[in-house]
Amino acid sequence: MTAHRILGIALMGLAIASGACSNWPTYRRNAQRTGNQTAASDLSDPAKVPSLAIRWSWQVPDGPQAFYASPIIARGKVLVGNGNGRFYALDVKTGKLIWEYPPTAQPALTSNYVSNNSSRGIASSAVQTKIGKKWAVIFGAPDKSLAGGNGSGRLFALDLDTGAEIWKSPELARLSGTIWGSTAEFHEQIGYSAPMVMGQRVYIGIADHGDNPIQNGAVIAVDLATGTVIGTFSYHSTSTRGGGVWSSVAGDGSGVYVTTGNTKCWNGGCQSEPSPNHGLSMLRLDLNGGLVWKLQPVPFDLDDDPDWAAGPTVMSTSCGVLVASVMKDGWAYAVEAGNGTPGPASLRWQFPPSGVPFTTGMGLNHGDTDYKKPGAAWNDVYIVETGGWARPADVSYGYSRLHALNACASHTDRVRWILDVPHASGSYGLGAPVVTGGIVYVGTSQGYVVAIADPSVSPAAGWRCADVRFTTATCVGAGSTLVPIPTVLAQVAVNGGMWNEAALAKGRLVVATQSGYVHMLTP
Amino acid sequence: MILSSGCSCARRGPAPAPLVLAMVAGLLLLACEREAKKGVGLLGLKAPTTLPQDTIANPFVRTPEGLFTRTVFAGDDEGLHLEVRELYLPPNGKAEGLRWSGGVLLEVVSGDGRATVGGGEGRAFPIGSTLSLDEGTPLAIVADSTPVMVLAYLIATKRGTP
Repeated sequence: MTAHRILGIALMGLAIASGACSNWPTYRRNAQRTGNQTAASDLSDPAKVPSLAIRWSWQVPDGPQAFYASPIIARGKVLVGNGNGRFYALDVKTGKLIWEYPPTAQPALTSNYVSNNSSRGIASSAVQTKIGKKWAVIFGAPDKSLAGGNGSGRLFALDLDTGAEIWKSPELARLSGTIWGSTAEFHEQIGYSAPMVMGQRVYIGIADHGDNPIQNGAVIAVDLATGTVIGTFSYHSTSTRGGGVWSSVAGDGSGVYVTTGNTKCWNGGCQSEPSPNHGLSMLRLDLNGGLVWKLQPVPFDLDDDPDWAAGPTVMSTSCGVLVASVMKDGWAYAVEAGNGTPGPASLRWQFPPSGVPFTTGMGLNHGDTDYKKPGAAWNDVYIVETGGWARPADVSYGYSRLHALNACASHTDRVRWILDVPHASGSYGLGAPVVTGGIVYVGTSQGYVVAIADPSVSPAAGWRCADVRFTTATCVGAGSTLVPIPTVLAQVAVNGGMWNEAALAKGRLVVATQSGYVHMLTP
Repeated sequence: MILSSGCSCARRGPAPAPLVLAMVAGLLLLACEREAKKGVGLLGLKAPTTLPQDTIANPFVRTPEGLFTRTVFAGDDEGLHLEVRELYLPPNGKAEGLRWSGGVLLEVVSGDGRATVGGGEGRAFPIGSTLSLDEGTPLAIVADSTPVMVLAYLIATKRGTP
């Protein structure tokens, strides 16, 4: 081999690697679901971010609905499905529509059974991958062309450049009828779960249609090349029903990480505890779907529907690999990922540290509240909407507030900063935060993209008590510490609120809103 | 195993010559090293000694007896005043001479401590335990190395103290 050829191969690899490293090819950017854009760009430059502004806007042309799925950016395209059941590919530089799926003459991908937003059209964010020699995009959606015609869920793999079908999986989420609350019918769905590609497999979570009623949660793996179900992988949350996998599973090459929903009751009924019961849990599974460890902080008796709606985030930190997430009741957790040897979960920390498992004597509620967004992992820092210290008193205190937590610190130093995010209100005040170079981007319910600078990047704007129940005057005397309030570098109004995440790639930020708009912003 | 999505800078393929592999790996590493700032370590910032008064919703207030308290529910019904308060003691904190006008039921919801009723002997006051006191009965609570949070359910004909 000549020196020129060696150099050519190396430069080609360099180009591929640069693209892969700076794109946003899946929900939370990678299989670990970190929500962290590690490549430097103007979006990670605190001097440039204040000039952040919309460069183009695009609205769904026919029957626009909200975007519940999040956009991804790959090979120069923005790829995202809409609540109207259509999947769009836009030019990331211009916003021009390149292709849509299904083609306009064909029916949209919708369900006959809509009980909440997760059932509306395409709520599953996509993943870019390669199938054979083709770049492909894969997402989950209902499809009325499946048997029964109700809109059972399946995965779609499309040619990323043309939108042509590569494969469609068989029925993965069964919708066998549409009688509200029927326990005689299957009411499964893919909903918000985004596919995760690991090795030659695609993993997807299965939940239900708004707990009407709860279904037996599952993770299914299909073959990346063909879309056929991998029979050797099997995971179900319970022996009966419950433990829906609402979130997007994560992976690190050897483990599959899952969070699960409630098990005890649903709209119209309750059951005695099934065995096994992996509901309300964060789990590590092996590559056959076998249980490696399980963290189940809320026992069955206290299950008042605090689903683990936020997915797991696999954090590569200076203190090892941690798996972090937050439950709907507002408590956040980090578990050591481990080496795959089955055993009890090794809980690194709980925030706030109330004790695991919860017991009746604590007098705390674990209900259907709205801490539903996954956190972002910026190396040792976990940025998340959590109830924080106020949680035992008032569940709503933490809404629209971000905590940055030091994942490797002692409990005393857990809180790095706290911000009440502007232009956000109510239980769905914030989308999922993402981060690049210490600058956090989050969409709000009032239709703003807010950029927040970690105090190591830009000076803090002020101070407050880490325990948000105390003023700065009483903070230290109460045994807590003062923590910075980070500076807001930019707050840009867009068309519509956001419950999903922004995608960051090569200095561009893309959001898809509740009003059916896609915007691209740059500093 | 290679993750097929995300920032997998090393990619599976046919095995090239070791020299090529080394060069490509080195260059790919360089590509991925053009990274944004990392979030490692603590901030290490020191808060100013004087800070402006902040306004937060329903903060705890320190009482002369040495604990922090706030009301989370209050209501009146048929001549009775009903109130739920949170009582907070920081780690190793001590509160003495606590009295309520009206009856009170105390429930420890986090942390462990010791309680002394009416000047008697102290008793363990762990999480999940309850204690009911008649009007005016003095109480002392000591926290161990963790904060103690107590819910106080008050029933009185008039607003109680502290």
